[in-house]
Amino acid sequence: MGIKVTEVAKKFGRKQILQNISLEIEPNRIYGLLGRNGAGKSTLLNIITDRIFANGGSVTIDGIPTHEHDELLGNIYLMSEVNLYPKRARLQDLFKSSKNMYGGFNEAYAKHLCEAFELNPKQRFGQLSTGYRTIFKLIIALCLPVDYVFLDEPILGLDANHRELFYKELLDTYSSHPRTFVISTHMIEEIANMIEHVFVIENGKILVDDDVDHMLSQAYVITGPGETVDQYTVGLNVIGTESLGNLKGNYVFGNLNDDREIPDTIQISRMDLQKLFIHLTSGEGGSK
Amino acid sequence: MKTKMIFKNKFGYYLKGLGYTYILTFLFIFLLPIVFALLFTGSLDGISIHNLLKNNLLPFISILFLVISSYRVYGPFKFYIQNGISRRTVWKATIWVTALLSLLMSVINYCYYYAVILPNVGNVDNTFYNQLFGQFLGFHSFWNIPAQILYEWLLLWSFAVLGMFFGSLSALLKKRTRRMLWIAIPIGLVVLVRFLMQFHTGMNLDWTMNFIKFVVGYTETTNEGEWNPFHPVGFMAIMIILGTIINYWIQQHIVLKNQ
Amino acid sequence: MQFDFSGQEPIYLQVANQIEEGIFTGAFKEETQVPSTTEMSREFHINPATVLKGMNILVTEKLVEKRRGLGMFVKKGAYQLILEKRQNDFFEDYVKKIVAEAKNLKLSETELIQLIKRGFQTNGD
Repeated sequence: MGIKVTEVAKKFGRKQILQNISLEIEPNRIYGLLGRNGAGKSTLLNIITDRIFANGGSVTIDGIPTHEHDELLGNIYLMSEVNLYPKRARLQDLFKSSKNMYGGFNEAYAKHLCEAFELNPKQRFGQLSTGYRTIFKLIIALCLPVDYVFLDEPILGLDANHRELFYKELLDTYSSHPRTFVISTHMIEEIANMIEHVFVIENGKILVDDDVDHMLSQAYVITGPGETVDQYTVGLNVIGTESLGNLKGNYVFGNLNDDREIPDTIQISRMDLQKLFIHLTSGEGGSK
Repeated sequence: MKTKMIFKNKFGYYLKGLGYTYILTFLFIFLLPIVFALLFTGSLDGISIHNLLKNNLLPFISILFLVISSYRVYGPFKFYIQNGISRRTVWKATIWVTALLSLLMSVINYCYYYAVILPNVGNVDNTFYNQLFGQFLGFHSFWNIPAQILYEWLLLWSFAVLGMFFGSLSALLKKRTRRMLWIAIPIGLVVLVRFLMQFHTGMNLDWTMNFIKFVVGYTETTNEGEWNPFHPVGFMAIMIILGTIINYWIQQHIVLKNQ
Repeated sequence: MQFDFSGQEPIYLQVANQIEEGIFTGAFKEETQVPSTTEMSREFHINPATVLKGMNILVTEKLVEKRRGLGMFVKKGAYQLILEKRQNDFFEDYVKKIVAEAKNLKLSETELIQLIKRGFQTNGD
């Protein structure tokens, strides 16, 4: 069940963007797709939606390849950073054609969202600012009757109020009508608690594919005097380190060694998803 | 199911374009001469409605419209792929759209010629078709009506397929490559023509001549209008089918550019 | 309600603790409804599944119950349960810590008892 990406590889010219990516996206869950700029997130999303072709591997939904398959492609909406809508088209007409092509559109909800975000549907797409283009695409994403919604940088150009509104509406519509959302963003802190499962892409490879709870339960910060901290974390998967004078903090991802005695002078605490992500992808530490 | 949807969506769009094109053409035929006359002579003496109505631009305008609108492949691709529509479905819908649209234009142009132009030029029926093929089915044969419409239909449709061929090709290319080709192709053509002009005497071009003669339905006769219209009709039909298959193959390779 | 998003404690545990605290302080009275999963999810940007996980802890502890089509309600006797649980945990959670800290500060057992007595007196008014 769900979307299955198997061994997908992609090259642009000589540059290997994705290297044998495999992952599964299940129905009715909220995912985070995290990675630094150029890690290959958008490329992966474009391959899943058949906008570009992989050099190898396959993408299926419930076992059927998505390539050139109207029904399957019509069950996915990818809101991307690039704008694929004609500039001269009016928003209300774009709502209408989306409805026709996807075979449904929650018009009442779209109207509510337009009012909430103060978007005038009589405007033309090309007249909108970056923020309002994002809002327009978000409204379509939330109103279509698809089972898989991919949001690539969904808060590009949105101010704090609009972001807040978007998160509320997303969780609202998700609760009343569960479907899969895959959110790819840099603002990890803001979505950290909304996502259940996370994929971290680094250099075209999947670095982490795990439930957020489980992932965070393996993330520790060990702080204390430099020497003691280093001694305690020998052999552990240290992904990053910070120091202030002799006070040192080692970021550990993975299980701690329970047999080891914890020295009185060190403190073990947790870290949030954003911190964990930064240290995982900063390239200084090892990875697992 | 989706093919029908896209057909409707596209057809409506094309129809609107067609309306604008015809309106512009009529403005061009009627308004421009009047404006020029007023500008340069200050009077309308040289202008007569009778003369203005003799203009038969419609077939050329139709071809121009079809070539240009069919050339637009990448823009619609972006829009349809955003809406989860496959390349194949767009291709299928486009076949129906161009077929129907060129038929419609053929009928409109036919009616316009016989209702407006012919009475004004003094009942000498000198359409391109009649000059070449008018006698083949008999001068006053009823069958000339559908044959002439069929002939223009396929002619217009071929140009649509041709426009789409170039549009599909350019959809595969990056903007820079496309711009380079816009410059390189005309230069290449000039070079080729110069080459042919210099060396054609040494080549045996008889088969080309014979092929062209066959395709246009040329018959050895002194009388006007006795060529066989079904040769070009058949040739155009084959070209349309071939071109449509080639376009399918090219369009299967279109992807979103510039990640 | 207030959540700590720094990762020190899993969010679902925080959800459970916050509601338990609400019941204990009387913010959510017995036989009344607690905020719905959707409401909490919306308000605090927490995945509904996470909120539900927290709620389920409370259901297992018999503090709240699901009423079909109505939502989650505080069970009768929930306050008493929490009170008993917290009394049981008091030694582990507080007394041990106080004693350890007293030792660090070189306070004797008698001195500590004196201090506790003083605490009761000043708190008594």
